Amino acid sequence: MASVFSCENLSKRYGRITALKNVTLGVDTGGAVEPGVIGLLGPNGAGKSTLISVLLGQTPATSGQASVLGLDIRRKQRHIRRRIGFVPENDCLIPQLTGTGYVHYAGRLAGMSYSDAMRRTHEALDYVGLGEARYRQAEEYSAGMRQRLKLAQALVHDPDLLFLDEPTNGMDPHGRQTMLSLISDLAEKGISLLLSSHLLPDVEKVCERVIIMSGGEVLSTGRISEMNKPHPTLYMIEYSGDDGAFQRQLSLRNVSVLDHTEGQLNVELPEQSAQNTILEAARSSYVKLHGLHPKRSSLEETFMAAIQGQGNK
Amino acid sequence: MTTAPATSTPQGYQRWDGELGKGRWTWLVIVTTGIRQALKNNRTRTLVLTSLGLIPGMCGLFYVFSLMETLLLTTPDDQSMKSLSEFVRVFLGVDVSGAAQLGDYREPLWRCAFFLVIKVQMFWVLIIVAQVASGLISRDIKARALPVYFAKPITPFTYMLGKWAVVACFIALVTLVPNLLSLTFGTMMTGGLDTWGQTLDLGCDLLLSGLLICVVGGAIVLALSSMSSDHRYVTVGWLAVTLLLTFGQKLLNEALPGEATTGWLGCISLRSDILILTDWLFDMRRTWEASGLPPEAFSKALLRPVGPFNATAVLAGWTAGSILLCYRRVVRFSRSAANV
Repeated sequence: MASVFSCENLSKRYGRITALKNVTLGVDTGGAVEPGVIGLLGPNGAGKSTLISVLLGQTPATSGQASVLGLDIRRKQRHIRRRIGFVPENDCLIPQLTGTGYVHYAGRLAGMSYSDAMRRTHEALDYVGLGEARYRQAEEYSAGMRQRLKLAQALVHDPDLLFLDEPTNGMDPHGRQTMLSLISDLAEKGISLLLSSHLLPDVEKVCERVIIMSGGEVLSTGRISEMNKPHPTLYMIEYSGDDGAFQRQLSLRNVSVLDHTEGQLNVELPEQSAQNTILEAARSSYVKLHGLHPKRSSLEETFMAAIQGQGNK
Repeated sequence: MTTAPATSTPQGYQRWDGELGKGRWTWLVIVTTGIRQALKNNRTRTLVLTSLGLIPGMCGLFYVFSLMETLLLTTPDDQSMKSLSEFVRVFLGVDVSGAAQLGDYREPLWRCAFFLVIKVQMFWVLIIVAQVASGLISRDIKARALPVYFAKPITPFTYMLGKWAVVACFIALVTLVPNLLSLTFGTMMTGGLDTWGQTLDLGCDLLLSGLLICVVGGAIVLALSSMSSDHRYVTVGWLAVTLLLTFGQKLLNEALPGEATTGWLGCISLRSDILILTDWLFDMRRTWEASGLPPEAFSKALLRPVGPFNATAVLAGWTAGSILLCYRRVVRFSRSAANV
């Protein structure tokens, strides 16, 4: 499949503030970030919105190169914008327009004919669940409806790539769920999405890959499935039987008990020990094992580790 | 037999295989949307309709001229002719009591009439621009809508052109459209199609003067609109720029001798500058000289020895500065997606 976007030593400075520092993305995967739902994670001020703005061609980069959908961001801005959709973080509703008027206007600005834009407007509004409210003034919409309206305006011209800047901001749990379902569905229909967020559960739920940024730098990139790989020495044990005897047998084998609750232990094996150590301790203490789960690092741990790693530097 | 109720099945997301246009006319989309939004306001509609009220007024005036032309040819000593001459002298400041063939003075009379009408229309321009244009960009800034515009394949120039054209359309609706319609109806009432040749130049001059007001007024108000997210400040700014300068010009004209205000000092007010250029476009001096009437006969026309250079330079400066400022502001706000 064609590349979604790639950057090489991309920097952006605003006076003394460096918003992006030599951002290089996709080089290690054959020159481009692969399609799908890509999460752009980072704390506030990490440079996520600046990166999106630069990729959209709204903000010129100070140095470096980047391309979106294989098109150079400096020379092919208008071509890029014809093929992308953008859901900004802020409300960004054009005043005095109804839901239909807003999405139709967005379609016309994208270059659609009047009738095509109108047909797509109704399709997009139905798709995001605003069919009933389409003729109401957009300014009267609730926060969740506004977010879905922004998604509809970004989808009206059927882009190949969607930039979503904090799309679940200010939404209630049900609204968030709906928005995330829409994002997953769009990815299934072949649209690539770059989802910028600081809400880790959202990213974890819908993204295949993630880019972690902080202080204008890319700290880590990769597939979430690879980031959440099992930890080699940490295990959670579910059991029934004599607590004291089991813990004694574990300590005899140099296994550290990290956490203990009724019928459950979190343990850390010594380096180069196998799961058999735990099985032997259970057999020796006559406890019955119900489960033995290697502990997986969560995206949150990966994220925090990356941020702390940058802080230590 | 019962039938199952019709159900609508969600179609899910549908891909679209149509083609997008090249975007040459995207600015027209901005214009039509802007005009439609502005016309939703009752005050705007009232202002436009009121300005169109000038058309019957002007047609009535042209009818009086036509009547005078006929009367002068048939019964020159008639009392009603004297009354009509007096009316024209008071209203237009043109004394035609000594004229033998009034038809020869048709063009100067009409030019004088339109010149005075444009002076009045400047007030309408002031109000309609404050009403319509103050929020054109400022509301987009307030709603943070500019990143949405510039995520679409349009440039800041296209955006500005679209917004300017909205202002220009409304200025044209209260100046150019009534003037050209009045001219058309007046020509038809006066002498039929034969008089087209006489009034064609005047039509072109009206067009140019209308465009001048559109360009200058539109550029300045858009620059002001891009400077604040609150359209009320923009309205105050617009009124301040126009009224204060006009007031200052009046004070200056009264305080200084006439010669002192024929140069740069006479070009401080935007209104004066536009009228000087209109005067030049209408060629009022030549019109007066060609008419053979005494200078006092054109008492209400400008006829000042002021060349168009200074006024053009001042208006060009205002316009260029406004466009530049507006462009910089629009570009700046279009980048506000980056929260730095």
